[in-house]
Amino acid sequence: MKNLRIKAARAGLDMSQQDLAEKCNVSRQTISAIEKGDYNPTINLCIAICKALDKTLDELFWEQ
Amino acid sequence: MSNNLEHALGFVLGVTIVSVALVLVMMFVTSRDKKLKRKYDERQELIRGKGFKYACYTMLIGNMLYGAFDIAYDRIPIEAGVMCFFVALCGACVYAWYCILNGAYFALNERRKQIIICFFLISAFNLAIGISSIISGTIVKNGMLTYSCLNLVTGVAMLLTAVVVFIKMFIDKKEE
Repeated sequence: MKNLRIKAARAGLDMSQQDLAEKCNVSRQTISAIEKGDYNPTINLCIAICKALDKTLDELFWEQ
Repeated sequence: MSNNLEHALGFVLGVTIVSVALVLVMMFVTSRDKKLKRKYDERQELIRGKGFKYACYTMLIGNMLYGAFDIAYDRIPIEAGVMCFFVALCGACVYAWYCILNGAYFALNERRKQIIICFFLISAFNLAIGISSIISGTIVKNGMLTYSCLNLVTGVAMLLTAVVVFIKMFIDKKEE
């Protein structure tokens, strides 16, 4: 399932996938795969993404 | 023990010792210098693991096919060592291409341009040797494909790998 919330949060901060990848110390393709729903990140990476985007885990990853 | 067998054992032992020593030196150097140590993220590690698995399957199937052909035919027109190299190269290509297409071949701290240039240089070097082997007519001897073809095959494989890298770069640019 696509994770549009990460994409929206990233766009809200005017960040590219590359910018977010560098902040989280991963490759751009990994961020792309997470946004497309092709890869389920570990909790450590989820936390790194949340910190980089200044969001909580619930806001980005909890499915309602 | 015949002289030939002694010579063969000495050669194999020498090659093994030098190879292991080289690997140990490289491991020692990369463990001391953090800049040389390749860093991969968690998804890349996962993909690389899958790549190894597919490469292993490829080599197993390749060896099984070679064994089957060896039983079925009296004389396969390819030298056994060349066939071993083909199978290993197929496995290496499967691993490299799978990792490249899934964005897990290049480490986070690796310079892509330098590696792509290396691919082209190695490819050109091997192709040049391969073409000279074709011209000198040493590739096929007594109806058997000889070791002289290895450079040509390696050159083509490296060139195809470089093409796969460019295809992936094109896909990535479109995606961005």
